[in-house]
Amino acid sequence: MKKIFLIILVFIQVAGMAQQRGTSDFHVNWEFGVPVGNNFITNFSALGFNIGYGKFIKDDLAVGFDLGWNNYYQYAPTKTYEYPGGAATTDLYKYIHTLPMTLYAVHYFHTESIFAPFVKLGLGAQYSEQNIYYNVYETTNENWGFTAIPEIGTVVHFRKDNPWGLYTSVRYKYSTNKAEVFGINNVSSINFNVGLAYLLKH
Amino acid sequence: MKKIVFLLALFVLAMTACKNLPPLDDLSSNFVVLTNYDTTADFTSYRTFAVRDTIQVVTNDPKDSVWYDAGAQQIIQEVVNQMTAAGYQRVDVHSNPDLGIQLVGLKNTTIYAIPPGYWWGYPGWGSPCYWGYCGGWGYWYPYYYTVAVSTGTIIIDMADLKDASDHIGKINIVWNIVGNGQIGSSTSFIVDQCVRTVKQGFLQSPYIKAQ
Repeated sequence: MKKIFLIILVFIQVAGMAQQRGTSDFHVNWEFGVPVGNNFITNFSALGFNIGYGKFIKDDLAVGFDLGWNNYYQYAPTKTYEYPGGAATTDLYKYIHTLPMTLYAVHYFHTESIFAPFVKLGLGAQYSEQNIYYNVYETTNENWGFTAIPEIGTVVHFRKDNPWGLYTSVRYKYSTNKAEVFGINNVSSINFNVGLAYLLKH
Repeated sequence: MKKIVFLLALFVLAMTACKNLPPLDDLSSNFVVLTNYDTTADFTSYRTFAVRDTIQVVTNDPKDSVWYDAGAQQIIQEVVNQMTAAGYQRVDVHSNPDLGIQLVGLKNTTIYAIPPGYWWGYPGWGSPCYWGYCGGWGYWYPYYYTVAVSTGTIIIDMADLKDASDHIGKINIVWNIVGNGQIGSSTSFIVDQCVRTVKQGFLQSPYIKAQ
Protein backbone atom coordinates (compact mmCIF):
# COMPACT_ATOMS: atom_id res chain seq x y z
CA MET A 1 0.00 0.00 0.00
CA LYS A 2 2.58 2.48 1.26
CA LYS A 3 4.78 0.98 -1.45
CA ILE A 4 2.31 1.77 -4.22
CA PHE A 5 1.94 5.27 -2.86
CA LEU A 6 5.66 5.94 -2.92
CA ILE A 7 6.13 4.40 -6.32
CA ILE A 8 3.45 6.73 -7.66
CA LEU A 9 5.10 9.66 -5.90
CA VAL A 10 8.49 8.87 -7.43
CA PHE A 11 6.85 8.33 -10.81
CA ILE A 12 5.09 11.70 -10.71
CA GLN A 13 8.30 13.44 -9.66
CA VAL A 14 10.37 11.87 -12.38
CA ALA A 15 7.67 12.29 -15.02
CA GLY A 16 7.53 15.94 -14.02
CA MET A 17 11.27 16.24 -14.59
CA ALA A 18 10.88 14.45 -17.90
CA GLN A 19 8.50 17.10 -19.13
CA GLN A 20 10.85 19.95 -18.46
CA ARG A 21 12.50 21.56 -21.43
CA GLY A 22 15.61 19.94 -22.77
CA THR A 23 16.55 16.41 -23.59
CA SER A 24 15.16 13.46 -21.66
CA ASP A 25 15.74 9.76 -21.51
CA PHE A 26 13.15 8.41 -19.10
CA HIS A 27 11.81 4.91 -18.46
CA VAL A 28 9.71 3.11 -15.89
CA ASN A 29 9.34 -0.66 -16.12
CA TRP A 30 7.76 -3.65 -14.58
CA GLU A 31 10.64 -6.07 -14.16
CA PHE A 32 10.53 -9.82 -13.71
CA GLY A 33 13.28 -12.37 -13.63
CA VAL A 34 15.16 -15.17 -11.99
CA PRO A 35 18.29 -15.19 -9.82
CA VAL A 36 21.28 -16.91 -11.42
CA GLY A 37 24.73 -17.67 -10.10
CA ASN A 38 23.58 -18.97 -6.72
CA ASN A 39 21.46 -21.95 -5.70
CA PHE A 40 19.76 -20.09 -2.87
CA ILE A 41 16.72 -19.15 -4.95
CA THR A 42 15.97 -20.49 -8.43
CA ASN A 43 12.33 -19.38 -8.65
CA PHE A 44 11.08 -16.88 -11.18
CA SER A 45 9.64 -13.70 -9.67
CA ALA A 46 7.42 -10.98 -11.09
CA LEU A 47 7.99 -8.70 -8.10
CA GLY A 48 10.15 -5.95 -9.47
CA PHE A 49 10.37 -2.61 -11.17
CA ASN A 50 12.92 -0.06 -12.25
CA ILE A 51 12.85 3.60 -13.06
CA GLY A 52 15.51 5.72 -14.76
CA TYR A 53 16.14 9.21 -15.98
CA GLY A 54 18.91 10.72 -18.06
CA LYS A 55 19.91 13.21 -20.72
CA PHE A 56 21.06 12.85 -24.31
CA ILE A 57 24.64 13.97 -24.70
CA LYS A 58 24.72 13.03 -28.38
CA ASP A 59 21.99 12.22 -30.89
CA ASP A 60 22.21 8.51 -30.15
CA LEU A 61 23.78 8.48 -26.70
CA ALA A 62 22.20 9.23 -23.31
CA VAL A 63 23.52 8.98 -19.77
CA GLY A 64 21.52 8.88 -16.55
CA PHE A 65 20.71 6.98 -13.41
CA ASP A 66 18.56 3.94 -12.87
CA LEU A 67 16.99 2.56 -9.72
CA GLY A 68 15.59 -0.93 -9.32
CA TRP A 69 13.63 -2.98 -6.81
CA ASN A 70 13.31 -6.76 -6.91
CA ASN A 71 12.05 -9.42 -4.56
CA TYR A 72 12.56 -13.16 -4.96
CA TYR A 73 11.46 -15.94 -2.70
CA GLN A 74 11.23 -19.69 -2.58
CA TYR A 75 9.79 -22.23 -0.15
CA ALA A 76 11.98 -25.12 1.06
CA PRO A 77 10.03 -28.03 2.59
CA THR A 78 11.10 -29.53 5.90
CA LYS A 79 14.66 -30.76 5.68
CA THR A 80 17.61 -31.45 7.97
CA TYR A 81 20.60 -29.17 7.44
CA GLU A 82 23.84 -30.59 8.81
CA TYR A 83 26.77 -28.47 9.89
CA PRO A 84 29.92 -29.16 11.92
CA GLY A 85 28.83 -30.12 15.43
CA GLY A 86 25.11 -30.25 14.79
CA ALA A 87 22.04 -30.18 12.62
CA ALA A 88 18.80 -28.25 12.24
CA THR A 89 15.44 -29.41 10.92
CA THR A 90 12.78 -27.04 9.67
CA ASP A 91 10.90 -25.85 6.66
CA LEU A 92 11.65 -22.30 5.58
CA TYR A 93 11.20 -19.49 3.14
CA LYS A 94 14.28 -18.13 1.43
CA TYR A 95 14.11 -14.51 0.41
CA ILE A 96 16.22 -12.04 -1.57
CA HIS A 97 15.52 -8.32 -1.71
CA THR A 98 17.63 -6.14 -4.04
CA LEU A 99 17.94 -2.42 -4.72
CA PRO A 100 20.38 -1.77 -7.58
CA MET A 101 21.39 1.87 -8.13
CA THR A 102 23.37 2.54 -11.28
CA LEU A 103 24.66 5.23 -13.56
CA TYR A 104 24.04 4.18 -17.13
CA ALA A 105 25.02 4.98 -20.69
CA VAL A 106 22.66 3.96 -23.48
CA HIS A 107 23.27 3.89 -27.20
CA TYR A 108 20.20 4.03 -29.45
CA PHE A 109 20.05 2.82 -33.03
CA HIS A 110 17.60 4.42 -35.48
CA THR A 111 16.45 7.07 -33.07
CA GLU A 112 14.38 8.71 -35.79
CA SER A 113 12.24 5.66 -36.54
CA ILE A 114 9.39 4.04 -34.66
CA PHE A 115 11.73 1.28 -33.49
CA ALA A 116 14.68 2.44 -31.44
CA PRO A 117 16.73 -0.59 -30.38
CA PHE A 118 19.39 0.10 -27.78
CA VAL A 119 22.29 -1.30 -25.84
CA LYS A 120 22.86 -0.07 -22.32
CA LEU A 121 25.37 -0.53 -19.54
CA GLY A 122 24.75 0.42 -15.93
CA LEU A 123 27.41 0.49 -13.23
CA GLY A 124 26.84 1.17 -9.56
CA ALA A 125 25.99 -0.26 -6.17
CA GLN A 126 23.42 -2.74 -5.01
CA TYR A 127 21.89 -3.00 -1.56
CA SER A 128 20.57 -6.47 -0.87
CA GLU A 129 19.03 -8.52 1.92
CA GLN A 130 19.09 -12.30 1.94
CA ASN A 131 16.85 -13.74 4.62
CA ILE A 132 15.40 -17.02 5.76
CA TYR A 133 12.10 -17.27 7.61
CA TYR A 134 11.24 -20.32 9.71
CA ASN A 135 8.47 -20.82 12.27
CA VAL A 136 8.24 -17.31 13.73
CA TYR A 137 11.97 -16.60 13.36
CA GLU A 138 14.17 -15.01 10.76
CA THR A 139 17.86 -14.88 9.99
CA THR A 140 18.82 -11.71 8.17
CA ASN A 141 21.79 -10.63 6.06
CA GLU A 142 22.27 -7.15 4.70
CA ASN A 143 25.03 -6.13 2.37
CA TRP A 144 26.17 -3.81 -0.36
CA GLY A 145 27.87 -4.91 -3.54
CA PHE A 146 29.18 -3.59 -6.82
CA THR A 147 26.75 -4.12 -9.68
CA ALA A 148 27.12 -4.14 -13.47
CA ILE A 149 24.02 -4.32 -15.64
CA PRO A 150 24.37 -4.86 -19.39
CA GLU A 151 21.04 -4.60 -21.18
CA ILE A 152 19.63 -4.87 -24.70
CA GLY A 153 16.17 -3.88 -25.75
CA THR A 154 14.06 -1.64 -27.85
CA VAL A 155 11.75 1.33 -27.51
CA VAL A 156 8.73 1.22 -29.83
CA HIS A 157 7.31 4.71 -30.17
CA PHE A 158 3.54 4.95 -30.13
CA ARG A 159 3.71 7.26 -33.13
CA LYS A 160 6.53 8.68 -35.15
CA ASP A 161 7.69 11.89 -33.45
CA ASN A 162 5.89 10.96 -30.23
CA PRO A 163 8.47 10.81 -27.43
CA TRP A 164 6.49 8.15 -25.53
CA GLY A 165 6.96 4.51 -26.36
CA LEU A 166 6.85 0.93 -25.18
CA TYR A 167 10.08 -0.23 -23.51
CA THR A 168 11.08 -3.90 -23.65
CA SER A 169 14.45 -5.30 -22.72
CA VAL A 170 16.46 -8.04 -21.13
CA ARG A 171 19.10 -7.34 -18.47
CA TYR A 172 21.81 -9.37 -16.88
CA LYS A 173 22.39 -7.99 -13.41
CA TYR A 174 25.74 -8.95 -12.02
CA SER A 175 26.43 -8.10 -8.40
CA THR A 176 29.05 -8.92 -5.80
CA ASN A 177 26.73 -9.09 -2.76
CA LYS A 178 27.82 -12.03 -0.62
CA ALA A 179 26.26 -14.03 2.23
CA GLU A 180 28.60 -16.83 3.19
CA VAL A 181 26.19 -18.22 5.79
CA PHE A 182 23.81 -19.12 2.95
CA GLY A 183 26.55 -19.99 0.44
CA ILE A 184 25.76 -16.93 -1.68
CA ASN A 185 28.69 -15.59 -3.72
CA ASN A 186 26.71 -13.13 -5.78
CA VAL A 187 23.14 -11.93 -6.15
CA SER A 188 23.01 -11.85 -9.94
CA SER A 189 19.87 -12.26 -12.00
CA ILE A 190 18.43 -12.25 -15.50
CA ASN A 191 15.52 -9.86 -15.80
CA PHE A 192 12.97 -8.84 -18.40
CA ASN A 193 11.45 -5.40 -18.58
CA VAL A 194 8.21 -4.10 -19.98
CA GLY A 195 7.29 -0.48 -19.49
CA LEU A 196 7.13 3.05 -20.75
CA ALA A 197 9.88 5.17 -22.22
CA TYR A 198 10.03 8.87 -22.97
CA LEU A 199 12.81 9.93 -25.34
CA LEU A 200 13.23 13.59 -26.19
CA LYS A 201 16.43 14.69 -27.87
CA HIS A 202 15.93 18.43 -28.22
CA MET B 1 20.79 18.09 -8.61
CA LYS B 2 19.14 18.66 -5.21
CA LYS B 3 16.00 17.07 -6.61
CA ILE B 4 17.94 14.00 -7.72
CA VAL B 5 19.55 13.56 -4.32
CA PHE B 6 16.17 13.97 -2.68
CA LEU B 7 14.61 11.37 -4.96
CA LEU B 8 17.45 8.93 -4.44
CA ALA B 9 17.18 9.27 -0.67
CA LEU B 10 13.41 8.86 -0.85
CA PHE B 11 13.80 5.78 -3.00
CA VAL B 12 16.31 4.04 -0.74
CA LEU B 13 14.29 4.82 2.37
CA ALA B 14 11.01 3.74 0.88
CA MET B 15 12.27 0.62 -0.79
CA THR B 16 14.26 -0.78 2.12
CA ALA B 17 11.11 -0.48 4.21
CA CYS B 18 9.21 -2.03 1.40
CA LYS B 19 9.89 -5.70 1.28
CA ASN B 20 7.29 -7.99 -0.13
CA LEU B 21 7.44 -10.84 2.36
CA PRO B 22 6.74 -14.42 1.32
CA PRO B 23 3.42 -15.96 2.51
CA LEU B 24 4.78 -16.82 5.94
CA ASP B 25 1.44 -18.32 7.00
CA ASP B 26 2.32 -21.27 4.79
CA LEU B 27 5.23 -22.17 7.04
CA SER B 28 4.75 -25.24 9.17
CA SER B 29 4.05 -24.57 12.85
CA ASN B 30 6.30 -27.48 13.82
CA PHE B 31 9.14 -26.61 16.15
CA VAL B 32 12.50 -25.90 14.57
CA VAL B 33 14.70 -28.75 15.85
CA LEU B 34 18.39 -28.09 16.46
CA THR B 35 20.93 -30.58 17.75
CA ASN B 36 24.46 -29.88 18.96
CA TYR B 37 27.12 -32.36 19.99
CA ASP B 38 30.60 -32.46 21.41
CA THR B 39 32.68 -33.54 18.42
CA THR B 40 35.26 -35.13 20.74
CA ALA B 41 32.70 -37.35 22.52
CA ASP B 42 32.60 -41.08 21.81
CA PHE B 43 28.94 -42.00 22.24
CA THR B 44 29.69 -45.72 22.03
CA SER B 45 31.70 -45.46 25.26
CA TYR B 46 28.53 -44.93 27.31
CA ARG B 47 26.26 -47.76 28.44
CA THR B 48 23.73 -46.43 30.92
CA PHE B 49 21.63 -43.33 31.40
CA ALA B 50 19.27 -41.74 33.91
CA VAL B 51 16.54 -39.19 33.18
CA ARG B 52 15.14 -36.58 35.54
CA ASP B 53 11.45 -37.25 36.02
CA THR B 54 10.31 -33.63 35.79
CA ILE B 55 10.83 -30.82 33.31
CA GLN B 56 12.24 -27.58 34.62
CA VAL B 57 10.26 -24.67 33.23
CA VAL B 58 11.45 -21.09 33.04
CA THR B 59 8.67 -18.55 32.57
CA ASN B 60 7.68 -15.14 33.82
CA ASP B 61 5.61 -16.86 36.52
CA PRO B 62 7.82 -18.14 39.38
CA LYS B 63 5.11 -20.63 40.43
CA ASP B 64 5.48 -22.38 37.08
CA SER B 65 8.90 -23.84 37.77
CA VAL B 66 8.35 -27.59 37.35
CA TRP B 67 6.31 -29.48 34.81
CA TYR B 68 5.46 -33.03 35.94
CA ASP B 69 1.95 -33.86 34.73
CA ALA B 70 0.98 -36.55 32.20
CA GLY B 71 2.09 -34.32 29.31
CA ALA B 72 5.57 -33.96 30.79
CA GLN B 73 5.74 -37.71 31.43
CA GLN B 74 4.85 -38.37 27.78
CA ILE B 75 7.82 -36.26 26.64
CA ILE B 76 10.21 -37.86 29.14
CA GLN B 77 8.99 -41.34 28.14
CA GLU B 78 9.80 -40.51 24.50
CA VAL B 79 13.37 -39.70 25.53
CA VAL B 80 13.59 -43.03 27.39
CA ASN B 81 12.18 -44.92 24.39
CA GLN B 82 14.65 -43.29 21.99
CA MET B 83 17.62 -43.91 24.28
CA THR B 84 16.63 -47.53 24.77
CA ALA B 85 16.22 -47.99 21.02
CA ALA B 86 19.73 -46.54 20.59
CA GLY B 87 21.05 -49.32 22.83
CA TYR B 88 21.48 -47.52 26.16
CA GLN B 89 20.18 -48.93 29.39
CA ARG B 90 18.12 -46.86 31.80
CA VAL B 91 19.26 -47.01 35.39
CA ASP B 92 18.39 -45.25 38.59
CA VAL B 93 20.11 -41.92 39.16
CA HIS B 94 21.85 -43.43 42.21
CA SER B 95 23.37 -46.29 40.18
CA ASN B 96 26.23 -44.31 38.62
CA PRO B 97 24.71 -43.70 35.17
CA ASP B 98 27.17 -42.85 32.37
CA LEU B 99 24.79 -40.23 31.03
CA GLY B 100 22.34 -37.90 32.74
CA ILE B 101 19.47 -36.43 30.74
CA GLN B 102 17.43 -33.44 31.79
CA LEU B 103 14.70 -31.46 30.12
CA VAL B 104 14.18 -27.73 30.38
CA GLY B 105 11.31 -25.72 28.98
CA LEU B 106 11.33 -21.99 28.31
CA LYS B 107 8.25 -19.94 27.67
CA ASN B 108 8.74 -16.38 26.63
CA THR B 109 7.20 -13.73 24.51
CA THR B 110 8.36 -12.18 21.29
CA ILE B 111 7.00 -8.71 20.74
CA TYR B 112 6.30 -7.40 17.27
CA ALA B 113 6.11 -3.65 17.32
CA ILE B 114 3.94 -2.01 14.73
CA PRO B 115 4.88 1.59 14.09
CA PRO B 116 2.33 4.27 13.43
CA GLY B 117 1.28 4.60 9.84
CA TYR B 118 0.20 2.32 7.07
CA TRP B 119 0.12 -1.34 7.94
CA TRP B 120 -0.39 -3.88 5.22
CA GLY B 121 -0.17 -6.66 7.71
CA TYR B 122 1.25 -10.07 7.93
CA PRO B 123 -0.03 -12.49 5.31
CA GLY B 124 -3.61 -13.31 6.14
CA TRP B 125 -4.29 -9.98 7.80
CA GLY B 126 -7.94 -9.07 7.16
CA SER B 127 -8.12 -7.66 3.67
CA PRO B 128 -9.62 -4.18 3.21
CA CYS B 129 -11.55 -5.82 0.33
CA TYR B 130 -13.84 -7.32 2.95
CA TRP B 131 -15.08 -3.80 3.70
CA GLY B 132 -15.58 -3.07 0.04
CA TYR B 133 -12.30 -1.15 -0.42
CA CYS B 134 -10.28 -3.10 -2.93
CA GLY B 135 -7.12 -2.26 -4.85
CA GLY B 136 -4.80 0.17 -3.18
CA TRP B 137 -6.57 0.57 0.15
CA GLY B 138 -4.69 -0.12 3.35
CA TYR B 139 -5.27 0.27 7.04
CA TRP B 140 -3.85 3.24 8.85
CA TYR B 141 -3.00 3.08 12.51
CA PRO B 142 -2.50 6.53 13.98
CA TYR B 143 -0.85 5.09 17.11
CA TYR B 144 1.87 2.68 18.09
CA TYR B 145 0.93 -0.77 19.30
CA THR B 146 2.46 -4.19 19.74
CA VAL B 147 1.51 -7.77 19.06
CA ALA B 148 2.75 -10.50 21.36
CA VAL B 149 3.52 -13.85 19.81
CA SER B 150 4.08 -16.55 22.35
CA THR B 151 7.09 -18.75 21.68
CA GLY B 152 8.44 -21.74 23.51
CA THR B 153 11.63 -23.70 23.73
CA ILE B 154 12.28 -27.26 24.88
CA ILE B 155 15.85 -28.27 25.63
CA ILE B 156 17.00 -31.84 26.18
CA ASP B 157 20.52 -31.87 27.61
CA MET B 158 22.68 -34.99 27.80
CA ALA B 159 25.38 -34.79 30.48
CA ASP B 160 28.50 -36.97 30.57
CA LEU B 161 28.50 -38.24 34.15
CA LYS B 162 31.01 -41.03 33.50
CA ASP B 163 33.91 -38.61 33.08
CA ALA B 164 32.55 -35.82 35.25
CA SER B 165 34.91 -36.56 38.14
CA ASP B 166 37.89 -36.00 35.81
CA HIS B 167 36.95 -32.35 35.44
CA ILE B 168 36.33 -30.69 38.78
CA GLY B 169 33.26 -28.48 38.65
CA LYS B 170 32.46 -29.26 35.03
CA ILE B 171 29.74 -31.54 33.75
CA ASN B 172 30.14 -31.78 30.03
CA ILE B 173 26.88 -31.58 28.06
CA VAL B 174 27.90 -33.88 25.20
CA TRP B 175 24.68 -33.50 23.25
CA ASN B 176 21.51 -31.51 23.27
CA ILE B 177 18.29 -31.00 21.37
CA VAL B 178 16.68 -27.59 21.18
CA GLY B 179 13.12 -27.24 19.87
CA ASN B 180 11.88 -23.71 19.19
CA GLY B 181 8.59 -22.37 17.99
CA GLN B 182 5.36 -20.58 18.39
CA ILE B 183 3.22 -22.30 21.02
CA GLY B 184 -0.07 -20.47 21.47
CA SER B 185 -2.05 -21.64 24.48
CA SER B 186 -2.92 -25.27 23.73
CA THR B 187 -1.14 -27.69 26.07
CA SER B 188 -1.71 -30.65 23.76
CA PHE B 189 -0.01 -28.75 20.94
CA ILE B 190 2.96 -28.03 23.19
CA VAL B 191 3.23 -31.68 24.29
CA ASP B 192 2.95 -32.87 20.67
CA GLN B 193 5.66 -30.45 19.57
CA CYS B 194 7.97 -31.51 22.42
CA VAL B 195 7.50 -35.22 21.62
CA ARG B 196 8.09 -34.49 17.96
CA THR B 197 11.22 -32.51 18.88
CA VAL B 198 12.62 -35.50 20.80
CA LYS B 199 11.92 -37.89 17.89
CA GLN B 200 13.40 -35.53 15.31
CA GLY B 201 16.39 -34.76 17.53
CA PHE B 202 17.32 -38.45 17.75
CA LEU B 203 16.55 -39.00 14.07
CA GLN B 204 19.02 -36.29 13.00
CA SER B 205 21.70 -37.58 15.41
CA PRO B 206 22.52 -41.09 14.18
CA TYR B 207 25.78 -41.04 16.20
CA ILE B 208 23.75 -41.50 19.43
CA LYS B 209 24.32 -45.27 19.52
CA ALA B 210 25.60 -47.47 22.34
CA GLN B 211 27.49 -49.75 19.96
